[in-house]
Amino acid sequence: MVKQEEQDITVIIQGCIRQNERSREVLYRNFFGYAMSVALLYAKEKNEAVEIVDDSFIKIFHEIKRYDTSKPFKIWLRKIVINTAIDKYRKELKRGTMVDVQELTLQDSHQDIVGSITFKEIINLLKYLPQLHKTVFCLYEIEGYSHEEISKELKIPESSSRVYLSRSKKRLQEIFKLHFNTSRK
Amino acid sequence: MKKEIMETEENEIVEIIKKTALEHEESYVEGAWENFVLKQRRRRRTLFLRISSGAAACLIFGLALLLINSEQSIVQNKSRSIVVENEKKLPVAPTIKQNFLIRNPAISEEAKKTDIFANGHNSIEVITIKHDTLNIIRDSLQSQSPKLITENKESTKEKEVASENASANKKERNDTEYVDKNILEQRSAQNQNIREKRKKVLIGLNLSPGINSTSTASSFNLSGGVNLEIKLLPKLSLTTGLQIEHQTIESNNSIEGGAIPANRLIAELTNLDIPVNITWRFLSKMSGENRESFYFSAGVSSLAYLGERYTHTMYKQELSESVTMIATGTQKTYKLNNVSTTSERKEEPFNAFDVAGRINLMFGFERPLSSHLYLQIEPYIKIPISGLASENLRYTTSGITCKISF
Repeated sequence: MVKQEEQDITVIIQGCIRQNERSREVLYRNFFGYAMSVALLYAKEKNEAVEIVDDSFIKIFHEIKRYDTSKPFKIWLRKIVINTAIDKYRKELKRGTMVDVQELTLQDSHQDIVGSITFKEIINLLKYLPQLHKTVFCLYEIEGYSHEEISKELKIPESSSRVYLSRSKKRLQEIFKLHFNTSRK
Repeated sequence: MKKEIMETEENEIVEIIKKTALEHEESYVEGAWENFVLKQRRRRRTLFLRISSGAAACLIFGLALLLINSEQSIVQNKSRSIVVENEKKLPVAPTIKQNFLIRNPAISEEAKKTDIFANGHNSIEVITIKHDTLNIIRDSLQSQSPKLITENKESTKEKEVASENASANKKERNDTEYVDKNILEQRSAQNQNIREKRKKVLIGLNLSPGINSTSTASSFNLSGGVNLEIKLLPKLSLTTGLQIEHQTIESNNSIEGGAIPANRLIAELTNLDIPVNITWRFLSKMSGENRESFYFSAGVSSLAYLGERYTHTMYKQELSESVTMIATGTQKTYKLNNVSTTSERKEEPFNAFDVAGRINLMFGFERPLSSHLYLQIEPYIKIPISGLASENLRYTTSGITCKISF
């Protein structure tokens, strides 16, 4: 089954290399959801995530010849989506349109089961972090980047990356406690 | 202890987030692909408009430069405005004439007597001089301005006398020979300067017939428009412009071993072409009095499609069977029919844009027709970088461009 899927992807990618519009459409439709789930982690809102996904697919269609077919396509796609999100963050930082949300008040949802937390809820919780803290947190904890890599990507000192990570963790803990009524004493 | 608990809690939360984020996959949003396609078109359009406005700005800048240059030359020539009219008859610089007269005391004396330069040295229109000096002056100035000297009808008799005294004037002629050489040298240097001094910006009109070739067929192409050449360095210039192009592209797909093509696509495209090329003049040589040059040009073209019409023809062979009743039974006859199905599709204007869609390669020859008019002949080849137009067509265009620049 997995082999069949791999073969299908290879055929689709070959079509994309030949600039076949139908193959592009199939690739986009098949991987839109996955790309969106990555983009949502880094975007402020859903529209921005769609923009990141679209920009990523433009890059993918342009650079598809460089894709190494021996590696899973999803890993390559994830990398491109993250890089596109970082590029977008840098651009917005230059324009000065970043709005940080340090002091938001939280609503208590009275949920008790942490295990049943959904992706949507996580996205909502991450929104309470400042954009830079959120990006550092996602890159370090979810994507497995080192502080050195983060400092290079976001053009911040390594020490700042460490500080932002610990602050974001602390903040998330507070939010969790408030949101899910979970506290250990 | 409290710190440890805190850290454990933190790690738990991080693990939950990580697990959920990595496992989750959003579902496809209906209409996302359609929006993506629209967005891409909009982006291409914006990019094309930016390039067009850049080319337009270049054209305007070039025109402005041209106007400024011409205004400057008008100002420079203002002080010589009276001369200009007479220069048509007498293109020799006034200093040369003065030198000429000074170095030939005999003529100088004569000139004084006959009021040659009565209205200033540049305002000679009709010169009436005596026979013994007429030949000397005429010989020396004939090469410069044969129409300069208008002889008085009354001097015909004097002419005859002059021919009789030719031998007497030989000595004087020898004296003037070196003056003639100087004049000629100075004049040829002046002419060469004029020829070598190309304008910084040249505007031109061009027409280029050509052939569009796909891997299976070739068809005709015709384009024409305006071009602008901006000199960057003595041998390097930037060439841009706007061309309208009408082209037919034919492509046949055949099944291997098939008697007829499986399908045929004929695309008729009308498009705008904005080329941006760098031109390198690698050879300039004098041919007679003209400076001819050879150049190589390379760059990219962006295309906007004003009209696209695609005609798809599908061919297939159908086997038909007909049964005829005869006395002994039935007779079956089989017939192979060629069946073709044609469908036509038109695209809206500006539906497709190809930014830097083609590479242009040109080899050219330039010859001046006059001091400010140049004829350029350019064989060219245009190679697609990506699929062109709405149907992602791949075709190579080659032909010859004829340009008149001024």
